[in-house]
Amino acid sequence: MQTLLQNLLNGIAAGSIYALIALGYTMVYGILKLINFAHGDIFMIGSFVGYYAGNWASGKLGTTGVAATVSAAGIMILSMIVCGTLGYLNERIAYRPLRNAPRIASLITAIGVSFFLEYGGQMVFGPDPKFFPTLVPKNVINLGGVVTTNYQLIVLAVALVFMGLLQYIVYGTKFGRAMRAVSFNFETASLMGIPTDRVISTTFIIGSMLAGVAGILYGLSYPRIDPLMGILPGLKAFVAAVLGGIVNVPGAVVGGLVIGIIEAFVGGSQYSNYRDAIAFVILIVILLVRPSGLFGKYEAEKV
Amino acid sequence: MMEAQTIPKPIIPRFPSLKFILRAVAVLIVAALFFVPNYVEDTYILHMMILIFINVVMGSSWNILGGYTGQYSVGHAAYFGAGAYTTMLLLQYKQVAPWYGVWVGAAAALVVAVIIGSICFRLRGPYFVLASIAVAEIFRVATLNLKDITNGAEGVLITEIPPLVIGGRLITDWASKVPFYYIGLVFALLIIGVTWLVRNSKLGYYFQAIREDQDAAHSLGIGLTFYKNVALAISAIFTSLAGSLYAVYVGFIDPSTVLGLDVSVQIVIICIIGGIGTITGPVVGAVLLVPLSEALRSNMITDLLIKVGIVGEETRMGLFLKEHLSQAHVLIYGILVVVTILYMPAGIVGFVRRMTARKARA
Repeated sequence: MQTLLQNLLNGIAAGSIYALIALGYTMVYGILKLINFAHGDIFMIGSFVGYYAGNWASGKLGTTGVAATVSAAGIMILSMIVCGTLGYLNERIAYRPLRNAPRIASLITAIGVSFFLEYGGQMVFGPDPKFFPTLVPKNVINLGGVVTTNYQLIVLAVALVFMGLLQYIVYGTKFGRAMRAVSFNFETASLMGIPTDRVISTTFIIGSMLAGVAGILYGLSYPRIDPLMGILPGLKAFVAAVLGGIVNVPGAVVGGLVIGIIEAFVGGSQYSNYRDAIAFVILIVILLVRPSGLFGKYEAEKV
Repeated sequence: MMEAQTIPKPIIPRFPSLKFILRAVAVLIVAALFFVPNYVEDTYILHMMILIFINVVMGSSWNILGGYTGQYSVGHAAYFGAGAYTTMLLLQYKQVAPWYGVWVGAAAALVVAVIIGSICFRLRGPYFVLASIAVAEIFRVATLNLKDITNGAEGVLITEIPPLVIGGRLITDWASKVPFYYIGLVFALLIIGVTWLVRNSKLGYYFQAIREDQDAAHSLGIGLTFYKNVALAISAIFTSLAGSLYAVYVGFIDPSTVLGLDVSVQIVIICIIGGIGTITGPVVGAVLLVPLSEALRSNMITDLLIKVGIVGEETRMGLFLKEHLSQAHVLIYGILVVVTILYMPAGIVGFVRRMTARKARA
């Protein structure tokens, strides 16, 4: 029972990071029907922003007390700004010129951009793994035999706040309505006077900002970061998005949590070596059994 | 898929002689290639040629599925690895000579292809791409973990290949690169021939119909899953041949070098840069990319820049390039892909065709 709860908790913590990344995929896929392969690498950049800013800040402000909390929040905002800018540039330079080209062209470009960020990262940051700084003091909390840390709780809290915020943006604001309109039907939306290009840019910015947040949270939870770290979490997060039905916010969150929890249970079992493959097995099963995902509506895909 | 329509056919009727000249040049080049080892002693050049041949085979076999049938698989590493691992493991543990093992490897790849195909071809577009990645990743992780069979992350190393003896006569003892050169050349010509045959056969017309409009093809009675699987099978067999040749030539494989995602992507990039859905595209792609990545890896380009005098050796720029450019080949691939897609969406071959067509019109 205890190990069960423990795995569940670890899974939820990891899953909420997947969920944050998955949201970026979901929004971009919903609007452009594009698997933005570079999204995982933007998440990586977010982590590295946290690494450099965190080392700088802890040298200046120390790692305890109010100053550390404030600087941690500042680092997260910085990472969001950098990732948001990067996401905007990515869309503007690499995807917008291909808006009317076959969808597969932008998919391949996405792979190119992803390469560019990964290996550009290797040149700038160096290929060796780096150790993410502890932004705030780490405490172990024992809840009746289930061990957690304040980090896991921070991850959960921050992830929840941003998911709630996104839910509000998408379903509660004028921009969100425009976004849903564009994802529903691109041409009709532009005929109705919705500035589609601006909506798409903003979508990329929001998605990339969430990836930046996820990068910081990931760095806190798994302090080994390197320029190729974005590939697997990125792919898994996309699986999470597909699992949740690709074009809705709660679906991506549930998908991320499910992947995280299943991974935690596989990781705690005798098949722990297969942990990295399980997400892909889930993907294939879900695509075959229920291609519309857990919460999606079925549409025949004509490509 | 619309991209094929963006590749204008060369204006042949106006330039009958051009086509003839091009063909003659191609035949001459191929003939010359057979004599290269007689005159070229430099093992580095032979090494490069062998790598180019292997990449031509990889690219061309992907092209049958991706270029002619329109199914963009980003999981071809699974077949490359299936061939490489089967051949290497048979050689290492069962002492099966590679010239038999290769065919077992091809059969293994065929089995893998049928399994993957029957799962993934129920999906379309981006979902198919994703599923193909997923399946290849599952293979990689499984190979990494089935240590009893595959030796896990340590990989498989072969120390010697048994000499090839036919009718009591020693053909080769594999000591030099020359036999690999000829095998690579023959494989490359074989896949180019097969591509030509496929393109001009009824089978190829079915493939291209599926590429242009699946639903229309289906409504005309073309069994989508069956013909996609046929394309995949052809593609997988030749990819596995490339994998086996690579494995035996290099003498060492591990899951990340033959089953990694970058192998799959490399295959796709060769075709994109060369030109998808053309016979010459993968050849052009391989001929360009292999020397480029080798030149970057061995710092040749930096040395050249320094020699020509563009960059001083002791300046910051020179030192920076020396230190980093050797790791940059994938970075440059990334830029190349983006630029190609943006400015030459039909690849180099498509670009050249459009240029010649434009000239002919003018």
